[in-house]
Amino acid sequence: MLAPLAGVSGNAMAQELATEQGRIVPALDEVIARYGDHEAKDGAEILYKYRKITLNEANEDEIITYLAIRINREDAIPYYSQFELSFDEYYETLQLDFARVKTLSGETLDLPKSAVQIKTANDALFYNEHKELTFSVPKLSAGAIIEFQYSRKTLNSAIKNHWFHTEFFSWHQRNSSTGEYSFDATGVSEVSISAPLNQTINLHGQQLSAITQKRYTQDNRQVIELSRRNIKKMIPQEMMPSHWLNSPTLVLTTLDNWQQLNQFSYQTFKSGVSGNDQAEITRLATKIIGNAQSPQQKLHAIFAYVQKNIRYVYAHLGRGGLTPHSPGWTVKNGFGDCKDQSALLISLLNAVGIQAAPALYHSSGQYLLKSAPRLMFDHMIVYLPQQNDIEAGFIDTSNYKLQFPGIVPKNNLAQAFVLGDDQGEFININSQSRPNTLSMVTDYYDINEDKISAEITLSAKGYFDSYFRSIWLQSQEREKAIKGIIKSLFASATITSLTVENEKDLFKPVVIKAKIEFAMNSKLADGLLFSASYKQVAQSFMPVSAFTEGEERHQSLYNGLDLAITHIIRISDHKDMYANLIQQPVNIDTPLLKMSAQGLKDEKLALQMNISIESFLLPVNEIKTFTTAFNDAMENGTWLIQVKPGKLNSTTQLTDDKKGIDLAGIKNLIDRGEYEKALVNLKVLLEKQEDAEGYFFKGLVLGFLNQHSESDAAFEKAELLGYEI
Amino acid sequence: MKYFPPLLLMVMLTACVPFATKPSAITPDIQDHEKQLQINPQNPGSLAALGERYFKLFEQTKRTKHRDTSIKYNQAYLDLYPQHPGVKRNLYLAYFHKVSHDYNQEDANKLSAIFNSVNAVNALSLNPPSIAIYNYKVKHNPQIEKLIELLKQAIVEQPASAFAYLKLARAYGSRGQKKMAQATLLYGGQNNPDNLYLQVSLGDSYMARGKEKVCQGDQYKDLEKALSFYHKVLKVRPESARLRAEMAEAYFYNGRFRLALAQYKKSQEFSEDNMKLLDIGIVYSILGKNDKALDYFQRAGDGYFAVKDLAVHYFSLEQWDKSLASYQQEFTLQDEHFYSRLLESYAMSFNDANNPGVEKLKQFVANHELSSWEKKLYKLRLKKITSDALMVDATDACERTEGYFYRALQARLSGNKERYQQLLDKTLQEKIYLFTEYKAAKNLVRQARL
Repeated sequence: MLAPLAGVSGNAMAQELATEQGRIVPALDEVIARYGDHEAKDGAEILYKYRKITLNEANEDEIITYLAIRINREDAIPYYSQFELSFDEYYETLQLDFARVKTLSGETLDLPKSAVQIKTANDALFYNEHKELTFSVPKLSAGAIIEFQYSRKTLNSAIKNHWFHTEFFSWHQRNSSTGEYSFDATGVSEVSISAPLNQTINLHGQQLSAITQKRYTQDNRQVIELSRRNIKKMIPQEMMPSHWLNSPTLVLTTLDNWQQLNQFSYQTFKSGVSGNDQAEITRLATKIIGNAQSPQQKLHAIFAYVQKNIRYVYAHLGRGGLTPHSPGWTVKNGFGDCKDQSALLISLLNAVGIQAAPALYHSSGQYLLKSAPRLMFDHMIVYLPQQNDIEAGFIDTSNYKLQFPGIVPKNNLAQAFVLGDDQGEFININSQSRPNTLSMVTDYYDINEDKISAEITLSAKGYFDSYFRSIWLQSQEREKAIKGIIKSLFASATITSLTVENEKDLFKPVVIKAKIEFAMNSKLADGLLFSASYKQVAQSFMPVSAFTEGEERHQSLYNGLDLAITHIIRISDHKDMYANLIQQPVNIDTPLLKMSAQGLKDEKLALQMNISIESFLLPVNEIKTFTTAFNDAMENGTWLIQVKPGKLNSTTQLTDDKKGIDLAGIKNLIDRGEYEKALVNLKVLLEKQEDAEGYFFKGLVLGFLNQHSESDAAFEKAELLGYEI
Repeated sequence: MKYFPPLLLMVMLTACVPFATKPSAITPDIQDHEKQLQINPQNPGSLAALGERYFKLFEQTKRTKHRDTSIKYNQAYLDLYPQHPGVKRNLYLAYFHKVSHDYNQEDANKLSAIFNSVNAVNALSLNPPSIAIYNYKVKHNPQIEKLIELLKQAIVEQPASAFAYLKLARAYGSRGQKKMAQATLLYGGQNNPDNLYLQVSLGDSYMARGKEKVCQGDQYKDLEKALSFYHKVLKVRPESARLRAEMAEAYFYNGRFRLALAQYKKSQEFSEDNMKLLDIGIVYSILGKNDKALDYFQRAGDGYFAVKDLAVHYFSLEQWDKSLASYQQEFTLQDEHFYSRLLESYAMSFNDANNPGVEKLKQFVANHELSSWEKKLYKLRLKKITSDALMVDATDACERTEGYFYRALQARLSGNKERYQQLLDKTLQEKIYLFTEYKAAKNLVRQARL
């Protein structure tokens, strides 16, 4: 239970005189007295979080954040043994005001000076100015309470005279050993914003009912107070959407609309591009396109040139990462970041008469509160409007692994903000109906007494093409990695050769071909069992564990990858073979998941499996609509074929044709409760040949269909033919 | 009587109070552990012990109070140690019973959650949660048509569970659709060749069908089938007395007496039972080991069946006075059996050539309703119909067995020894092994040939 505040709001409390210099809340004992009653039974909990934001006349902010955290159990300590506060040295300063621990016995230990350091951020693969202030508090044990306060101050505004801030209210910590995050419960989280009266601060929120707001004027300044209470612990699960997508959140921004952002961003972009190198760029463009005639050919040539010749680096030192280098600079140096590449691409394309515009994009593809105008992007790509011979769409040369146009949409909702002279516009990234596909062909070309030889061919578009290409071009153990994928499909096979084609061709998919062999462990004359299942494919290329009903799900299920897979299985050996269908897979036909399989017409022993999955976000109570179908496919999705040497037997063709299926197939139908269909097939089968077991099944099916006199007659016939009922 | 000091007596009385409500020696143990929990409510040893004890009590008594108490303790234990397989299994079984008998969504969700948390190997031995729900629905569905539809759905959804096949077969059987009932079991057996319940049920169904065909002399094939299913189960459950007894009976009905004897003895070894002593005695009697037979009959006590079998045994050995004494004893226990009265009448006549032996029989018949076949046997005894007239109505091997046997006794009364022996042989040739007449004829033939 929360301690009664006795009519004093948190912010008012914060304004009480604190004993420590710069401290924005009362002394720790007072904080514990007021907020220590919060009981979240978890390993740790945030008792109180308070953030004080002060804006000056130029809309530059100073943000001071205070936290009091209680460790309830030992197992939470690894998450709180090291704090990491990240910042960008170009835009802001960050300092730790104080940090200490009060142990269960009442002892208070201040943070040793040696336990604080500034380091370059862990994700700094690129050149940037991201830094991390890290510190570790002493004597952590169950019952200890940690308090600390840190301050950020603006050095350079991203957009001069404008300010925007996103507030999530909660706090998360990273386990220093495992790297996992914990999102522990929070008792009270408050934010206070103080700004000049003449500034307009727009609030955009999601799940606003959970957030208390208050606005008032004090000392000739406007004050906004926000608070949230009782934030529950959030347990992350596989394939959940980013946790903040569904959590109560507020964006505060001084921007009134997106056009203000367009104006700023486009001007900034153009300020980098406008240079004296136009003539040089035109010459280069003419050289690149060579004999290309159509706009499409010219586009491909320029795309290939930039991707091959301009190495992608994330380099915006000293400039805040918003202004591109001039195209001439980028060509001369042979590298550039996303906006440098975009600026060069646009200049080259414009030089040969192709319209193109810069577009801002967030690489996660998920936008929080799109209604709130602010800089919320981390990437720049190029938009091509519809024009002669060129479809409207986006291109991106920054990832040399990707086929043209270089973009893998993370989901169908991803949009980019296309900049323009007059106005900016959000446009869907994905213009294709099926951007990610995967094609597999398994050809059993030689079957003899010693072994079975097959060739597997894999090719893809979108996500898996990028995946295969990146393995082959980047991994030091590329053969092992690709062979691992083949082995996950055919565990008992020996891979005898592996080739990869088109890995550097940006306009063709990578093609992986592997020859594999299976040892014969039975006599060919006794027949071979071939199986192909949805599971075999899904286990290699889909997140099966998240899609099957294992642990209890308490987070939404998010699948960003819209994907279609086809697997053709063919027995092309020229020997006379015929097949008995032992088992066939179910067909799944739901809005989000479709799985089907059929024999290939006009081919003797060939079948095709199709799997397609849409991108989706399912709330917890709807997850079963998807997982039930998926589980059904995993359990009942096997095509089992017995292949024997000999002439093709008309009653045992693979295809589910008018000649019907065999007894095993009929039993499969009975097992599934498809009695009418089983009866039709039984009649076809029994017309061709008397079969004791066939009559038994007929009696069973008729009985299940409540036709009991016919059922008894069929049983009698079965017994007459020697079937013992 | 031994004298107990008052203090000791008080202790005994206190300790004995719960015995009235909680059976067996489990109870004091429960008290100890409940006291432990008063000291430390999270004592894991006591939580586990109490969960187990109450679950045992529930299994013994089927009282839901014990089931729910076992749930309380087992759940408390699992809250501390979530992975204990034995505790989890008992908790699952308790919830399974709860959902099967008193369904609600919350318990059903709990049942599923436990099932999903059980290790896959352990889960194989459990009926899935949906079966508990079906069980509940089946119990609350009096309309057989709806029940059949429900069970058809269950076998599609839970093809690996014996429950639905067994219930569906029973439902078809109760509607008179015997072949469909049998086919349903066979289909279940095909889908679950290792399921013991289905194997036993298939054995039982063939057994029942074989028994129905005994009087047509057509039981052999069905009983062999029954035995083949029982044999499969025997490999897994060699100590099942019930299974051994069923097998013994199948062998007996098929005339394989030594195999029957071995199984009856094994069955008796695993679970002692006076009726089985009689069965063993009968087989020994048929095999001509009459001392052993007598020993088993005498060990079986002095209940109605034991006395009756003893009377027949003495009759077959031509020990008329002993047979008559046993019949006298039998009739003091129960006087409803026409055939016992009939045999008694012959024993009287054989025991004393001057005694017509029919007076008591006449008295019995005057007070009891006879079937038409029994009336004929009675008339034969009174010489009011001829042997030929009797046999006209003997439509199957059972009636022929009786017909030949009582005609043989009539021939003996007439002093026609040759005819007597011929008719006893004919009795045996019908091979209705389970009939008293067969058993008696077997020894009488031996006596006649001495």
